[in-house]
Amino acid sequence: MSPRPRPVPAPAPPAGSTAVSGRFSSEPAGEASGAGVSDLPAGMVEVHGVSKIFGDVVAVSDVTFAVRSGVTALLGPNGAGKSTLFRMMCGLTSPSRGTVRVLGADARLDRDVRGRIGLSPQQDALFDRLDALDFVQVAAETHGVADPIDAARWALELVELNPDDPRPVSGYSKGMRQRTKLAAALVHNPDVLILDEPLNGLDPLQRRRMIEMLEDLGAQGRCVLVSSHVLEEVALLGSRILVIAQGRLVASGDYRELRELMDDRPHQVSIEADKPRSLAAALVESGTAVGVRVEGGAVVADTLDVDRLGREIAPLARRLDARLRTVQPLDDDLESVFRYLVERR
Amino acid sequence: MSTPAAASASTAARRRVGAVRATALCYRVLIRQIVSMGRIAALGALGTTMIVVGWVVGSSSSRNGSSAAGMIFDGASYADGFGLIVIVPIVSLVFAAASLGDARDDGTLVYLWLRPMSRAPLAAAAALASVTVSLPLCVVPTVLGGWLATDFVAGSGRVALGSLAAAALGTIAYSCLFVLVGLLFRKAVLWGVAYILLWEGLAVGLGEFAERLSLRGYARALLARIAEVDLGLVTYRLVTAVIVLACVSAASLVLATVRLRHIDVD
Repeated sequence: MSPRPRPVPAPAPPAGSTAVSGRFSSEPAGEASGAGVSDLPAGMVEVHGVSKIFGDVVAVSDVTFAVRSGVTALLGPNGAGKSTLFRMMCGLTSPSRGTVRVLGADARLDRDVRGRIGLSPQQDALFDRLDALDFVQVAAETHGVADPIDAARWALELVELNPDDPRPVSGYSKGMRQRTKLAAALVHNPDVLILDEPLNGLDPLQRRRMIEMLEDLGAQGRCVLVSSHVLEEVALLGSRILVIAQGRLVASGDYRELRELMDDRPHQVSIEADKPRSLAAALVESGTAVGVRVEGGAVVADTLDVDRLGREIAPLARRLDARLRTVQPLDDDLESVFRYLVERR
Repeated sequence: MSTPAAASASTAARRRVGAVRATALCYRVLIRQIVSMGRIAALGALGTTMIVVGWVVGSSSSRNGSSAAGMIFDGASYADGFGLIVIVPIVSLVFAAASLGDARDDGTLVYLWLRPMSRAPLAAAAALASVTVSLPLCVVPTVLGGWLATDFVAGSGRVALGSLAAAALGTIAYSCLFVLVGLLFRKAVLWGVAYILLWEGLAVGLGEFAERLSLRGYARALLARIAEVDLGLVTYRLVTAVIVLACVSAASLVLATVRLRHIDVD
């Protein structure tokens, strides 16, 4: 890989640049982010009171946030509204209500702003008859890059693809296609980079390198927005996180804060053991569980302190002369965090 | 995949993409996307059929001792009945509807839409790409088929010339119209076929007013006027036919541009 020398260095990132407006919160989105927006200077991307309705389906509901330079992740389950938000930011569709501004303008109407956005869309489609160099070169040319061939080669090498590969992109693997899209998004040096599930299809090594690259781009002062439905991916990005669920912004903050929220909420643990009814009663009596039910041969315990339950379950079982078979958390995944956040609202 | 600051591209290295340049860039991409061996083979076979049948018609008419005027009429009718009614609209539909319609359906439109370019060059490029591919596939069989059907009698050159003008202008008008249809409807080919069969094919038989709203009538008028034959129904003046076909082409492109401004892109 040989990075292509460019004539002008990238701008230095402004001080305190990697900020998402709005403090970490699982309060209603409007309240949480609204306070943040008024406290902060205008963001590179500003989403204010935005809703998007397709027929009877509310894809995005009253979302407000502002994003400045650095890497920001939109985290949410499939169908949460992340791609719709990205599409509105790029001007690909208009909001039903509210306003979206990128670099102070509406990308749907402002040609110059469109030239400062790099988008890697979620869909796998590319111009399949072109090879990667042609594809990225077309992106460079349509963005008015002065030296499109050189720029395309640079961008492809940056994502570790061979610019001289003569195969059309239809013959590429999913990971190669993903990197081709990324090269096309990067080739014109955008100020705002919007990447919809960019890590899909990449192997672990490519994933790690991609994450490093996104961090570099963010550190150079660009606004890098990345969507994902995998918490661990977002954790590796070390970024600020906007959690989207059911079309709403349900939380924002960094990974550590989100992790704490996961740990602080009530947990459900399934315990398979002999004498499940006795064990259930003992769990409630000891205060380890705030609620229990017996399903089949297992106790499903609701606990506020999963660590304490882990420590105390074995002595309790021993005291009851009950044999423990499995102890398994039921909701230690991102989906249940989303569910919890949505239900709390 | 690291990006040293020195390696990052410069916004200063970007320049505005003018309309002509934008049209050329979009054209280059779209023409490669719409041309496929399958489409060319299928539509080429249709054209070849017209040429072969035209030759058979011409030979048999000649053997049967038809008059020169009759053979001129047969040739013009054949160019109209096969070329202008079937080949020109169908070929134009396949490529024009695909130019932006396929890109919209498969999600590649975003790579041309989210660019610092105005929308008109994209619509113009789609029409140009469609016309580039459709024109030879429409004009060659219509002209050759019609001409062969006259068996080269005296005056058959007028049929060839009329077929050339009618097929060429018809292809341009249909292509522009179907670029618009591709942006208005998903599965645009089905809508286009319905339009060709139900409106251009059947509704024009409903009367003079309906025929005034069909492109085929104006293309046929060109053929009839230049070949100097009466093909029945309404025959417009040559200038009227040219102006209407040009206006339909221009209006379709304007509407396609407006549609591109307001379209939801996946």
